[in-house]
Amino acid sequence: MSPLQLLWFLLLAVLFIGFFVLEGFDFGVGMATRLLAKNEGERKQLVATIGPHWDGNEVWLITAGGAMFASYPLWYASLFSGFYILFFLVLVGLILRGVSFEFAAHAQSQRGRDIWRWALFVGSVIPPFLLGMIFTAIIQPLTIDGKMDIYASLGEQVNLLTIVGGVAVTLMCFMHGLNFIRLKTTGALRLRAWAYNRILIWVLYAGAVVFALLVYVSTDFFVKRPLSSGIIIGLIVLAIVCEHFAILKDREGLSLITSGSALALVVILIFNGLFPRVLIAKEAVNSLLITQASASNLTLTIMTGVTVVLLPIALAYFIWAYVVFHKRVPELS
Amino acid sequence: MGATVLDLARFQFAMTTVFHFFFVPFSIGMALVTAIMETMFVRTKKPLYKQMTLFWGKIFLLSFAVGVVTGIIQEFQFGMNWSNYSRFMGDIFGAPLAIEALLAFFMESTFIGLWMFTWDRFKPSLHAAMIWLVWLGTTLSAIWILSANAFMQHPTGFAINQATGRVKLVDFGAVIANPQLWVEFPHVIFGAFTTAGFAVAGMAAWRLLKHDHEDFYLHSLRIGLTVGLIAVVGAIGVGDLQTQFIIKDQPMKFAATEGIYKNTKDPAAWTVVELIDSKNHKVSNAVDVPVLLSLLAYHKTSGAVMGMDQANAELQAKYGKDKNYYVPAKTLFWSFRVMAGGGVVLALIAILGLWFSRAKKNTLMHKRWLLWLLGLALWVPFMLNAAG
Amino acid sequence: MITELGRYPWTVYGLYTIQDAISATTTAGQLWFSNIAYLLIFSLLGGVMVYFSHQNLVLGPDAPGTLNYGIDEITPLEGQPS
Repeated sequence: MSPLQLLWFLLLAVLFIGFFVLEGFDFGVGMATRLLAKNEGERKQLVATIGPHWDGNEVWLITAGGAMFASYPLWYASLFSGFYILFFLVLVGLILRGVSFEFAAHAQSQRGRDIWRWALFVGSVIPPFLLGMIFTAIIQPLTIDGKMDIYASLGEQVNLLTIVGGVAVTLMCFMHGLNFIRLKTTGALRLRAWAYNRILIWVLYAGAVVFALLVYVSTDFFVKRPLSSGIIIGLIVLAIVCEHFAILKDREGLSLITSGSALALVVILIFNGLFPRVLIAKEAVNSLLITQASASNLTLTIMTGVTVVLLPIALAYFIWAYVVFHKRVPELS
Repeated sequence: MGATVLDLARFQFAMTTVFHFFFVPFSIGMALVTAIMETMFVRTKKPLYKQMTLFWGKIFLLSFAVGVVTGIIQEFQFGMNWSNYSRFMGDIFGAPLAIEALLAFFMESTFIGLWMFTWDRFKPSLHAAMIWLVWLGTTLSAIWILSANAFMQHPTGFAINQATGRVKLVDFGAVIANPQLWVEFPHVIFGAFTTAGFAVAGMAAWRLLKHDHEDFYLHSLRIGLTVGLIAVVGAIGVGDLQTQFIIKDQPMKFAATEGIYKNTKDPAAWTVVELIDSKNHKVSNAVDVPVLLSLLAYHKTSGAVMGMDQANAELQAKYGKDKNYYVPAKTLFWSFRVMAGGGVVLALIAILGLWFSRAKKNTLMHKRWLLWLLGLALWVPFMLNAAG
Repeated sequence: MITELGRYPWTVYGLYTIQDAISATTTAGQLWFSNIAYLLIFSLLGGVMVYFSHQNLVLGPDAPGTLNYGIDEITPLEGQPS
């Protein structure tokens, strides 16, 4: 394995982490418009927190997908074609959410606005749930033929681990969104979000235990990489404990950091367990390895050069946008 | 049902690309128009221009929202429906898409958020800079996705990896310098500006027919037509450059676009209309303009053009006789005439509109036939984009 | 259309045909489902966009702005520093 291949495997993990940590709270706030907000004023308050940011956050997913195509085209091709319907439904969710902000603003009647707020809610639940399913499906053995095509059966896509994975990612995104709301709003909404998370954290503890058990049973993580997998799971639990502490002490910034860390660590767990493969087949000989799936050395070199130049610039103005909008959103009528 | 997986996948690519190409050029052009209006406000401080920015900006944001979601579909589609293509081409094709995201999408989506929510906080000039950066992002994204398409039209800078049978990148500079890209990109961008220019003018015309906010819509119409006229002339000009390139690079496509089966005489006549029998490879009832095709193709009054029959023979000699390489001639022939003819018509309408609405003697409101034409012209660039 | 139909049967001109390029794992059923769904979604999105554009034209340039998702309370469109 060349250094560039390893670098891009790690970079893809970083991009997916960036996506879940950033878009994760967008999804959570979107869910909150239905599950937390009680009237249109509160929904507007929520939309105001993510209004300037959600589109830029979504670009992390586009970048992760594009980077996967560029650096690991064989992984990209097998993954996206093998989980066709799930990716299609993720797209539908993103489409509904994407237009809902603009369309809700233009709607003249409350009923019209409500329809597009529902689109925001549905479009905020579907992507994290299905992406959670996809990511936990690929850590279990799949039916892959000699031509690298995935013929995943229904059971390989919908099983206990993938359902728990989908629920876990959705729950974590919701709590992450609630922490964001606590940090970015004032008034009744902020207090209610705080109350929700004080309860949900217990659900998260239970979910983490179930998830860890299922990873132990359904994947080869504890056979192939027991030490690193064990440490990462320990860190996930630690992050949840720290999040609990931060919630109890009403430390909003720390809450957001810890809930984000938990999401990041799940991605790390997955990438660590996959390594040195990108796809795991039922017949080991058909597993797709990093060394097989990557682009050529020249392409990886060029991509590295381009990224070294462009990513810092993008991060600079991306962060600036968050600084510009650092103020809390007050209650709206 | 008879439709194979191949047919259905091709249909999906066609449909998603056509929709993508309805919304995205429109939003690229509207970003420019909105930026121009806001800049005029910054320069002149006239409230009318701020009003125009706030109004036409709404149309821009609507189109941008839909455009973005059609784009996500395209990125996923390569992996979902065309996984063998992605494997074969990924070494070259993936990089432009990744760069598009890293450079252009981050730019347009970050600065649009800033533009939308800092009206009350940024100085007017800084605020205007935000929308210009959004426009820059949309334009940069066009370069990168077109570089991928340009490669598909005119492969360069590559080699076949003998061990894997897949394409591998050999020269990234060649991929970016691909001459196909540098005629395709300006043409598409001019097309985008045309779309927005005539859309704004058309919408304004419809309201002017109702005598609604006349001052506002007259000013909007003039800005729209100015952008539209410059853009459509630019598109036609670059289209000419594209012709020079395609006649050498894809002779079959050129011959089909001109409806030519047998090689033409020297000098070659341009066929305005004709009946094409694509089954028997024959044409009839042709209305020709002498010498014009040589002029268009070579900028000279002489020069024959290769027909589809010979192009097919050459392709078969190069790639094997197991298939024929004829492309859908009827569709290409008529699409080209719609696109090019439509472009010329748009230019004429724009000139008329600008002339009759000029400040010294504005009589446009009395020429309802012209307002109707301008209103209908709203839809024309969308058709032309699809035809192209 | 000219751009894409004109290079038939190549996906990449001279190198790779369309037939070779499709996914082996995608079924006709999946494509029918996604095609119909896309058609409905695009029609809906395009229709709503045209509808709202028309609505904006009818409401006119004096109507309240929506450039900030209509959330004027915290980011008013009208107020600007000098």
